[in-house]
Amino acid sequence: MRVTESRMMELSAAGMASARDRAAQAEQVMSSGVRVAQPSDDPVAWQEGERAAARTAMSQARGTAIGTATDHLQQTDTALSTIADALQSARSLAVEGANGALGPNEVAALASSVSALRDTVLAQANARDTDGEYLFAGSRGTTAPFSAAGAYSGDAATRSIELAEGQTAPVTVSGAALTSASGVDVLGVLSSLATALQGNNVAGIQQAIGDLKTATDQVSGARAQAGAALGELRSADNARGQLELTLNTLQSRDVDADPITAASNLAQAKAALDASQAVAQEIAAMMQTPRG
Amino acid sequence: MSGLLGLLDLGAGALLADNAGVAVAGRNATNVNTEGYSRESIDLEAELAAPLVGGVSAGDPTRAADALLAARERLAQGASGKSGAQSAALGGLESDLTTSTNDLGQQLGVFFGSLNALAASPLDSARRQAAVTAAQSVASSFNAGAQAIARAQSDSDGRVAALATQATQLASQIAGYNRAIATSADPVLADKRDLAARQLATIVGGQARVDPDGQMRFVVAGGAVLVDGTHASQVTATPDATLGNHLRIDVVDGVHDANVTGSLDGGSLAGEISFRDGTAATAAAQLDQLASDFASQVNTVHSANAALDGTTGRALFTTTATATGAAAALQVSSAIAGDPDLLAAAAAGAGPSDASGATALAALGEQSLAAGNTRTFSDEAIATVADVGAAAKAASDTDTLNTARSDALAQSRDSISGVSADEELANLQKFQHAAEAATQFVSTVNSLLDNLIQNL
Repeated sequence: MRVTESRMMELSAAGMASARDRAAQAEQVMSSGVRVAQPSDDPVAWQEGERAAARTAMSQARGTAIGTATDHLQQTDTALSTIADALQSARSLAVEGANGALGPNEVAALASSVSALRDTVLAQANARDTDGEYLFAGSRGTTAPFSAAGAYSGDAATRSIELAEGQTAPVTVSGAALTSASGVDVLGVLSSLATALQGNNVAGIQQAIGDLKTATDQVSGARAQAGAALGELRSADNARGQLELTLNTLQSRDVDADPITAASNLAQAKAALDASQAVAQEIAAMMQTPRG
Repeated sequence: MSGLLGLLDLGAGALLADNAGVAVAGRNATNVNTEGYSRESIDLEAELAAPLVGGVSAGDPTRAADALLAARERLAQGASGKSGAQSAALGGLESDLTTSTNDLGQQLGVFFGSLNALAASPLDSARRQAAVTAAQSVASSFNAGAQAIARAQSDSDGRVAALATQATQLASQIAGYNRAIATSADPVLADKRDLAARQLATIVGGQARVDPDGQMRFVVAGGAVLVDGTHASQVTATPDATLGNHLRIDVVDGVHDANVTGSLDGGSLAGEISFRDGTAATAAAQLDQLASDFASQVNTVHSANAALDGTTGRALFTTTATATGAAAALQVSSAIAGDPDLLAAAAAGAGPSDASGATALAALGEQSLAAGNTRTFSDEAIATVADVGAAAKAASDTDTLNTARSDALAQSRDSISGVSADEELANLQKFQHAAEAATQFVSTVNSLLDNLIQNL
């Protein structure tokens, strides 16, 4: 095949340009640590990497929701615990008032203590979380659910959030757990006890002791509900962490460059560039050889 | 004496032939780097002996060229022109989409995630604002994506207009060369015509042939004639409402007007049309459909749920009534953008701290509601960009092959037609020595004549 001098120079220049381009690409991968920077580098890998990133974003938001719900439930459980303690104390006072060992004035004095316990329970029943939402109002969280008289203006609704893809769970406890809808009206029971103690009404005190047991069971049930939800949130958060770890691994596998492979490719590309430059110099020297 | 005079003619003829050889070698050497120049050669022919001995004559310079190779090279240039234009345009669009949309797939993930975060604390004003901001980011991403595609198509139209003008000029040049070749045997005219034909093929593809009368005829796919002897048609690019006011390509010869927009099978014009009306248009339609489906599904759920004040019936997004243009027009409702409390996080009829609405909206992100209910919104957004990337990669790979093929054919042409400085130097020396010999011959005959005349 007949090869002219100009063709030799063109081929040499084209070879050098191609080698330079490959070296530049290898340097880019090495310095950025990213093998697939855009879809055309590897359409399938890019797509999988992007999907993993999108799922990670949704999972991270799920983590925020779980964190918020956990705080809310922990505050709920604290309030219920205080209510349970108050009910226990009230029961002790009721038993003391019903055993006949105290005189009428002393029994009447117990009523004041029970009234104070009722105020404590009312305050806890109207407790708010750190965002200002009433813990026991159901879906009417902007208004105090219990009036001073003990009337409940909340509802029985609970709120659910997504714990994992396609999985939701309730993460609030409705104030209905403290009302007759769940057994007895907790505040009403304490009011009745205080009235019975004030009047040294042994029968009324005995009735209140029974109602206090029911109220205590109601509160225990509500605490169990909150505890179960907290447990579910903890499990979901652990699983979420594992999922994000898996997604990050997938994304890294699809998109990131293997450092050893990248370094090897760069070394090869630079060697090829050096060789093409040497060839170009040789050809240029041949062209400059005097003729004639 | 008449014999000696005849020898002088013989010597003169040899000098003329050698001078022609030197001239051709010199022309070749001076055009060693001229694009499209085919090396020329002189055929020396021995003359019949008359009256004593014969001499030598030089024919017209002949160019070293292969018509079949030229035709193959034009086809390869057409393919290379098409794939080169496609590859460049798709690479530009891919780059724009992966930066300007700011990762629409992830923005959608963040949006649906923000709704789930809101569900845990629906009274939290910061969470409400975050959800509205995420919705605005999604809308902005859709807008930017639609604008990037429209811009790419508009840029393509700009290149189409320039290419059409260039094609018209080249066709006119070829017709001019045909006119000149009819009256001149200068091989350089054929070189220039071949170069113009290659350049024209790079733009429009098509095929050319040289008829027995030496005239070139250039035809594009579909049969429209660009050049017919001394007559050249025009390649026009005009806006066409049926193409969304993008440019259509016509071959106009003054009598006939052939629309070749969809029939060009090679050249940069075909590549641009394929990009503009093919991949780019498909990406635009895909993005519009996604925006329309997204807005529709979100608005249906949103309007069925209640804002913080208990009111229902509000759409979260506004856009076009049909899919066309939905991506560019997508916006968050101005009322909700100005007051995040209007975000419908609660169920209708429920209290303000209910989050059924937010949960239902968040759940849309995991359901296959896009692409004919086959993909999630986020996956479809990612696939739209990935499809452009896949097309860019395929076009780049094809262009690499086509460029290699063109280069190989160019090398073959250069092997036949290219000028080697070493060869021409040798030819110069050859004809120089021959001229020196002819000069010596003429000098000898002259001495003989002088001697004869002196002794008469």
